Amino acid sequence: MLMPKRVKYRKTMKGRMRGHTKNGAAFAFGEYALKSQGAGYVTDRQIEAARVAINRHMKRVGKLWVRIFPDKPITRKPAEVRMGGGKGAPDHWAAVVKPGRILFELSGCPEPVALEAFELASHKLPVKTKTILRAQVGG
Amino acid sequence: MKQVPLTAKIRTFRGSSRSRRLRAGGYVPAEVYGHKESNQSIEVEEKELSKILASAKGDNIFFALNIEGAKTNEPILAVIKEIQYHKLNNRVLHADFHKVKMNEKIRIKVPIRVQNADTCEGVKAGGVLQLFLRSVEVQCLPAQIPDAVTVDAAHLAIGHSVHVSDLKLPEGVKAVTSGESVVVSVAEQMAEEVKAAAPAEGAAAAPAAGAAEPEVITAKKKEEGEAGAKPEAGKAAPAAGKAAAPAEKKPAEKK
Repeated sequence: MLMPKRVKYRKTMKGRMRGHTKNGAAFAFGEYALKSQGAGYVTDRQIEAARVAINRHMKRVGKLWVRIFPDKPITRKPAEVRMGGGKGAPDHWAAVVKPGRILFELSGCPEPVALEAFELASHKLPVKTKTILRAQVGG
Repeated sequence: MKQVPLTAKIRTFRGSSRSRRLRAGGYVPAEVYGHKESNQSIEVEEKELSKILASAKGDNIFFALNIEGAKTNEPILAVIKEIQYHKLNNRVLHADFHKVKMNEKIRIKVPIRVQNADTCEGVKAGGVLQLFLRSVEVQCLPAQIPDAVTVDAAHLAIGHSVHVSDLKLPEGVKAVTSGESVVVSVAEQMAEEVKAAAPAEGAAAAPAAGAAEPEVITAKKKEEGEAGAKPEAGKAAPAAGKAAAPAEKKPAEKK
């Protein structure tokens, strides 16, 4: 699973996900990309599941770039614990994704394969997504 | 390079809210500048501009701007210097046009096209062709701007690469991008394959691995983040009389 090697603080505040993404909205590497249309936390497991789904569908043809990184610790309180008593323990990691953020990029494979791979990956993600092509976007 | 006519109107206002209203009406705010003349704010029809850009497919185009209400009726020859797109729906938000004079050199980005990528020596030998640069900035007279710069990858072996200095540019065209920049290279596929394949195969075992890893992270985080909290943990540890392993759960118990 993806996670930071070092962090400054164990726990972070929730924050808010307002507006569109500031960075990571344009193509950087590949020919095809999966773009987020909504906002949400994409957990390390979800990223991994999507990555595995894409790689399996491509059958080792082409190259995949993961454009998000889960750097936000998400805390959980243990089961059957009353409210209060401070913040829970870190449970997992998540990437904060806002609308317009490119999640994955692909190159070196035929277009139908890339579209199908992204379709499979989108089922693993908690945000609505859209597949975009560099040729259409003009990046 | 193709030359396309585009009608524009002079824009007298500025600001985000008026621009938003302009976009809602089907127009795009734009600017024309260059040749040490003061810039001119204009507005162009979004449909018309998008159609031209879509037909260009990434190639450079000369725009013959017919600006309504301008001092001269002669069309202004310009190229797109910068264009802004909406992050979600990819609609054009703003365009910058740079005036061009046919007898003055300009700097412009030209797309790079790779030929014989499928029949590349290195790819046949199991390598992966990697394209690092999709365009190269050149300096030349407007009439000499090439549609694209082609790179022949047929004879590229594994570990070999093409640099900007290796590109064959037409006469009068000079590359501005650093000559040391890599355009295309063929890398060995094996190293990446192992990386990509190992987690894919181990997907079934992922929950077990995932369960093991967070402990390492929390331990690391405690070393850094809980430097101040360590004395408390130290106090609690002897009282509990437990090993260091369940230290992760102790804060939760205290809470």
